[in-house]
Amino acid sequence: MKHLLRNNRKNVVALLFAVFSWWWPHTPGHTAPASFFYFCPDSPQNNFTRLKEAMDALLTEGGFSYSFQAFAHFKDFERQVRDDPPGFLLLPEWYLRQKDNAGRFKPILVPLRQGVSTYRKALLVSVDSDLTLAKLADATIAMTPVGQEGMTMLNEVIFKTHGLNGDKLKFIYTAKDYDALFALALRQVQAALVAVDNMEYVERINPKIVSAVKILAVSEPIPRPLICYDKNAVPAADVEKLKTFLLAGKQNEKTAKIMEMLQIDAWQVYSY
Amino acid sequence: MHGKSIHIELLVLLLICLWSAPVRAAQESAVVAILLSDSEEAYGRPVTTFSEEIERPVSVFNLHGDIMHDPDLKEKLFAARPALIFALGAKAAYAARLWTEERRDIPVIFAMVLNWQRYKLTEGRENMAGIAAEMAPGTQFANMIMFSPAVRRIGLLYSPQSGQIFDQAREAADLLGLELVAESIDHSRDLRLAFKKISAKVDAFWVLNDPLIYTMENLDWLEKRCVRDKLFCVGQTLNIAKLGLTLSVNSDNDQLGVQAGAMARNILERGQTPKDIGVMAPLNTQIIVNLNTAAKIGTNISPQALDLATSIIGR
Repeated sequence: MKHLLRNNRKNVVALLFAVFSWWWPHTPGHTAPASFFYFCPDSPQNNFTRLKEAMDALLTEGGFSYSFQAFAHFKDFERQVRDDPPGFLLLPEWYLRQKDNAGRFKPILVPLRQGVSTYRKALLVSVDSDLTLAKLADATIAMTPVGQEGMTMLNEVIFKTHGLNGDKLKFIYTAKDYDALFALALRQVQAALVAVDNMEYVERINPKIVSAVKILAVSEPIPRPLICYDKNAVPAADVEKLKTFLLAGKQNEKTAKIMEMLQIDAWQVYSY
Repeated sequence: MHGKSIHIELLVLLLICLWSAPVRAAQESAVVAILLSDSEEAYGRPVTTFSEEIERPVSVFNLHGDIMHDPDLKEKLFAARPALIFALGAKAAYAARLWTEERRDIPVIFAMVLNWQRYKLTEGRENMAGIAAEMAPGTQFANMIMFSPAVRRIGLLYSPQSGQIFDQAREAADLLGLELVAESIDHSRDLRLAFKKISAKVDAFWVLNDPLIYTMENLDWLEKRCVRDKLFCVGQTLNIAKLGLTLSVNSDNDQLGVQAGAMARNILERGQTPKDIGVMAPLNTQIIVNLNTAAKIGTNISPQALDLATSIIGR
């Protein structure tokens, strides 16, 4: 009898658990994603601990319940977006062109630097290299990772103009622009594709590294990373609140800190 | 005459077949074999990141620490008809070299092999490429001058075991316009005397991962001595900044699989040969700065440089 009772109790608990599991995610307020993902390999910011501290403090001050998570590796970011979808994201524009991402994530804000919402990448070789654009197909080129759509974009903004096809070039991916730049300066690769902003950033700290490389070609303008939200998951009120909050810009001390960390001068409403 | 022409055609065909053997092996199979030295946890992330990067099916084989652990492993690996082998650890790299002795059409990429030169992995073998386990001296020096732009002269102690790294260090210092002040030691106990000999002549000191240099006793002494002599001391393990030296520049093992995956794709899809690639330095870095030590030695690291660091100890 005791045994039967214990079994019954187990069954009831299991049944309650099953009902609760079904009910819990359907309760309003519990389905909304709780993360703000960041993946910007071309940003000068590598100190993700510091960035997370600052961003979490900013989100808390704004009354948001989103937790900030920064990704250094593209595949980790992709996997996490798939497995544990975030509410907000700061990501490269080319990511939106990938698969059905544009249908899912809606851009709301664009960062500006020196008044523009774009940046350029430079194709670099060692200062004493005789490598030309025509011979680039044989070289190993270091750069931050891009998905297939990112490569299409790079073909448009730099490779095609010089008679090259990015799909046939021999890339080695680095998580950070600096690693690509350093690898070239130290002759570990024959070429590198690096954001001009980051070259200038390194040059300001110590010009020695940049003096070891020279520019072969500069890309057309590339859109800066965008702040997006998941159209199917984030309440409109949260979207508007975040927009207002970030557009306040440097008037807020915590927003100003983030902007300084990401080398951003202002935010602009996305309107393309 | 006609028969002679057929013979020539056959000979040309045979030559084409022989010439294109590595390409053929790569195209015939879509599978990539991953060979592990053992079940070390450290291989987990490189295996994942490599598999994601390569975008092909992978089969994982494990030596379990001993090439004779499973006498059929070689047969099993070749039964998968791999287009390429990614070997992790010294035993796996050595086994991959040995097993492809008769199958040089299969490219091998090795990684996580400490002091890879010792195993003569690439000697006389055009199918072998790899990623060194050690950060290149140049990467150490480049980061040193980013975090302390005033550094001009770098001190280095080495033993006969790290002679090759000393040569690379000399070359890298020349490339960056730095002066290398080096001293060789034959015993671990000689470190203190050798350090004192060069300390006054340098602005920074690079701690090599050399068994005679990198001992807990030496590190403990170096930490205090670097502070006393106000030297910017740099090493290449995660622990070194935690132990109290100013800067640690080490390889990002998470990214190692991505680098190897890109190398593999360049071989399998874009016609690059393992010989063209050779043994690359690990290109991705993890940088840890100890701000407490920096303050003690009077080095003011700029906020811009700090943003390049992966993590910071102290404030």
